[in-house]
Amino acid sequence: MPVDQDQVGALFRAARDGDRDALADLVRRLTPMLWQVARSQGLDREASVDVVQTAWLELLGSLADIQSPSALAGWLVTVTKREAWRVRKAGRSEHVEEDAVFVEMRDPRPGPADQVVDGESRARLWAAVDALPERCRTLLRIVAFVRRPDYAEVSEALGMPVGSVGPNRGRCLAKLRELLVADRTGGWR
Amino acid sequence: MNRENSRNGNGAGTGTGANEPLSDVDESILAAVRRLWETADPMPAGLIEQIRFALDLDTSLDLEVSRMVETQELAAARTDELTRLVTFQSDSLSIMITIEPRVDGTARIDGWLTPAACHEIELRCPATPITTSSDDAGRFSLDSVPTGIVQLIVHLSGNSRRIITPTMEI
Repeated sequence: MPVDQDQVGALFRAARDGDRDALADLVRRLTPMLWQVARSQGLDREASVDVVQTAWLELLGSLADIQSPSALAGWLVTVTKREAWRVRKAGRSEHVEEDAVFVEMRDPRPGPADQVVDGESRARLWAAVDALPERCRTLLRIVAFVRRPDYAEVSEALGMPVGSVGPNRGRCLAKLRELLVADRTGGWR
Repeated sequence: MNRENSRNGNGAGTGTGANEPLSDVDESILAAVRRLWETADPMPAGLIEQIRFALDLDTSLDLEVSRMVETQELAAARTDELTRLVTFQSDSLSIMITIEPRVDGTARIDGWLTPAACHEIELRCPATPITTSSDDAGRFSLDSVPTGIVQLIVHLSGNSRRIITPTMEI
């Protein structure tokens, strides 16, 4: 979405020039992705809050060194991962297995009547996501929160570069589609 | 057969190149995956506001980020609430504080800087900041700290460097 990209570019330049509202807007746009990065590193919620916040604080001193809005997303992901690693190494977070979240979510509570259909397709999606290999599940979990223009930088920061043979967005999405189709008669939607 | 249909239907089987634009189907799947995780593992409601508060600083000075390295809860002497012991560490300074809830709903903070020195201490609150100084032994205390989100800033004496911590909930 070019409009969105232009907006983020303008926000980024303004934030670099010291505009606090622009920085606050970038926080709103990028924090949901960083939250998923911290959580997928196996941190508990409390430690994830600290780690995401620390990454933003570190950015304050480094804004001038960052070249583009896409580099910003990659930079924040790298720092979030590094801080998460420090916390884990210090044993400061209870290790949370990603599977634990899945067990809780496997039986979504029935919603109101008008959400029954949604609930059903959500349960199917859960089952399919759950059946993915872990690396694909983690990649898609984060990619789902990444703005398209930031994708290459973020994948690189996650250690799954765009050109790699390993799990990447295309392969993992193809797997997920297959699982969704295999799950029932129709395709997705 | 289903698999073939799915591939023919959206052309997905052919390209695994990550730079290729996503098909509408993939866009909608990714959007659904996002909603799934937003439901399964939502960000804490106040996180964005908390980060905005933490970042609302004068960035013209030299900032050094202090990480939270340890938190412990201790039985408090005077109330049923637990006293928290929190340790922050940065390249040049370690900050240890205890946060002791008071019966009137405020809290008392006692702190200790290592290496010990006199520095100006600022506790940012959403209302007015509370300031004090550490003594020669690196000790400081702040009384009647209102509940809410706070952030500790140490203004190092003798230079323009400031140590900033992540926010804490009092």
